[in-house]
Amino acid sequence: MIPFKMRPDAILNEARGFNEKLAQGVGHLMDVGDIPSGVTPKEAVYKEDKMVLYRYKGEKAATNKTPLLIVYALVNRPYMTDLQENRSTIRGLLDAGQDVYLVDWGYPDEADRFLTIDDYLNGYLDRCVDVIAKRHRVKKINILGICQGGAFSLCYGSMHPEKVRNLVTMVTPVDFQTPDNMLSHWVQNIDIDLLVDTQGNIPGEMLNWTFLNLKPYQLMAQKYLGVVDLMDNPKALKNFMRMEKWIFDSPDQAGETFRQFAKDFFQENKLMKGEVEIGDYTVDLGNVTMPVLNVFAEQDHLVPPDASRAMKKYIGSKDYTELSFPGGHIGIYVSGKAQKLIPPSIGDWLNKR
Amino acid sequence: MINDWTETQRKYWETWSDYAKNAGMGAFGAGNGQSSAGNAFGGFNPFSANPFGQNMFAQNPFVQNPFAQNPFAQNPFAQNPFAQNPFAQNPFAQNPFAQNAFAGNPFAQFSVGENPFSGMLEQWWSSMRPEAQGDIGTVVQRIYDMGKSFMSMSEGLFGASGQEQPDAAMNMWMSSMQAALQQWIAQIQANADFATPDLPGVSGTTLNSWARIADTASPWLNMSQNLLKEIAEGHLPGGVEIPGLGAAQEQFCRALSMPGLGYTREQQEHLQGLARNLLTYHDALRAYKLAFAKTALASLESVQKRLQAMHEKGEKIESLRGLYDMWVDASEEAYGDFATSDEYQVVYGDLVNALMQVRKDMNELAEQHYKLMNIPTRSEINTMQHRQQENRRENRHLRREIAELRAEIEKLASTKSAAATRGRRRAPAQESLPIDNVEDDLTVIKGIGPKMAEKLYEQGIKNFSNLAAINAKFAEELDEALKTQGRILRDDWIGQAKKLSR
Repeated sequence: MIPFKMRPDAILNEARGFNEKLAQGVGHLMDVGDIPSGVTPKEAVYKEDKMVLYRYKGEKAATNKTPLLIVYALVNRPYMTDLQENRSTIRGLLDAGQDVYLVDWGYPDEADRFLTIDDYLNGYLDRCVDVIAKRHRVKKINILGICQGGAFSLCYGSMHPEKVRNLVTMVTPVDFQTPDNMLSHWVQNIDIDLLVDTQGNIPGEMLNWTFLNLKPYQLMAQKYLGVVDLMDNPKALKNFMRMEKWIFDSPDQAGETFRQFAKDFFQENKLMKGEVEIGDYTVDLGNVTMPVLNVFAEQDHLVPPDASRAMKKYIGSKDYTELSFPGGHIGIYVSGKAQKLIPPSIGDWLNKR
Repeated sequence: MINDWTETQRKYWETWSDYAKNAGMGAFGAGNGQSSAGNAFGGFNPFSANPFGQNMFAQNPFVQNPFAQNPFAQNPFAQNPFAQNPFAQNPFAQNPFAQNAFAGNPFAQFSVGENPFSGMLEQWWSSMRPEAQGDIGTVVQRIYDMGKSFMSMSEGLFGASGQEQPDAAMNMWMSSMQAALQQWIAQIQANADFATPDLPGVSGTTLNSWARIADTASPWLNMSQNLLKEIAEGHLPGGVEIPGLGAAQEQFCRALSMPGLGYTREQQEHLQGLARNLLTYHDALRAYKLAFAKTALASLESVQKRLQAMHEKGEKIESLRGLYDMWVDASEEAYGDFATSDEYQVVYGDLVNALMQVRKDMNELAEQHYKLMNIPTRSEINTMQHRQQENRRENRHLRREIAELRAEIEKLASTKSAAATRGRRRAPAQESLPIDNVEDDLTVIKGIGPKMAEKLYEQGIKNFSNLAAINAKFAEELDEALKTQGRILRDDWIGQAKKLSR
């Protein structure tokens, strides 16, 4: 017995309505216009190869004298944190009195395939930290790491604790092999060396499609039916398009960096075991003794909350705070609820330290 | 009823084809505006909505070989490289890269051109691309796909079943889909050539995304297919068709393991290795698809279970969207179970690994030929880039070390010159070091008399420590200023002061 309560004429009307909305929406869709990559004014203060260090301009001068550096993942573009005027984590942090910098890794090409995590962290990132410290005449700065960038920030904090005053991690995995980690589950049987040796850089689209395949029905199908409901609302449509642009704007990942990240972090879970080796360092999370604020999303399908919560067990910090947000991996930056909660909380936490 | 439905469908397609025309793509309306009447499922074809219907799994990518003339088969170097002028046959004319190198890139979102699994939609895209570019175009495409899929589901319910009652229509529809999936599974199991069916809400998902990844390799796979055939023909009477090698596979594999002989031994072994890896890839793909097909069946069961549960609770679905959303939820759940299973981990990993192995083999073959043509290869570039990156890293280290050393030296120098500066100017520099204010009897030093001591006091050198801190350069300047004719150094005032200052 099928539990339907649908009259045939009602269904026809629904189908008609759908088609009409679609027809109206085409015009709005074509009128969306340019979609900027980030909305808050910023200036480049340091460049190296394809990497650029930006400083964001707040409406008021920062009240926190310790500057804050945002370290984003390599796999997506950092403007997720600055998507639109009323949905910008960066704007929220500026409003909360922080002096915000962000490292934009750029789009590596085949000539960058031998960039290692060592090059990224003890090279690019370390020099960015030095540049900021010098500009502000301080020895230590605050770091906010996001996703893969959060894992990188933890490594950096362990290798250079003398340069990090406070560490904020957002949706950051520490235990890469929690049972609910689908991505990690998939990667276990893949011959990473063969993949990297053959491919060189790992194409962003390949990673992207992998991410979308974590929830293919919702992310690749249902969502696009949902957009039809927005089609009579140009503003909502534009916001949808911003998100689309971001989702499909995926840089390739430098081959050697991917190799180490996939093998050491995902396949062998070395970060929490204290066995990751980067350049001359062995990453011991016990060295992460500065105050840590760990922010994660309860419905995160990419970095399950337990993967983040594991941090508490392994870091050396005595000042550890968790902030759990009821939302997903992306919602934590863009949802209205997140905007009200996350940046002010981070700002508060930093201002007190 | 059916007429109404057809009318709705017609309107739907007109909307899109108007849009398409506005965007300058004529092919759209004609190619895609047809309804799915007249197919095996009585008007409703659960697979009709698949925009990727002609994907790499549907069409045997090896049949339409864009490189009809296999460059390897006619390889001038395979035989005596000197007997035939290798350039008599222009190697670039048959250059495998000249054709599909970019068109076949799955990461160029919507590839067009010789892509064997492109299908009509690709054509639509190629005409539309100039108008709706980038973000908008991509989204329009997806909305279009999903709209089509959604409409197809609705059509399945009412348009074509001839059933006026929703539950009868639904039942009919579901069982037709179930039958199609079971048939698909049977085909895969029989290792026959098969098309990938589609389910509502699934179009353009997992299998398709795999096709995109595999697509980078498609020029290679196409080419290697002919190669494989030729190898097979050399060993087996009549040759073989692949996939669907069936019983011949074992024999074929045994033939591939025969040791190569003679002049072209190495090349033969390479080709045999490649052929074996191609077969491994086909097996891996088959295993993956089989697992995937079973999941599709499981998701259908999951939908049925939900419907049953709803029925028991007395809940009702009241709209098409309600049905669609329930369908998506149930399917996602079934997919999630599959994707987190050990089986998926194995079939997925095997598939990626097998494809990469084939690509690696093909790259190596290409490099062999490039070397003969005196063209630089990727591995040479890799070696250079690797060394370059090491050099850059080392440079950075050295630069940092130099900067640190320089800072250290400056610090040392500034301590000394600070002392010297204190020597010339009286009070200010000494404020920070109160001990400097203590006046020692400098006449204790051999070579300094009371007059000279006075002169030194005037220069700010008041005690043994001040004098001890003077460096050689400043000592010379001091010598000149005080007209001591080299006595400062000759009599070693500084050395004496050092001893006395302890």
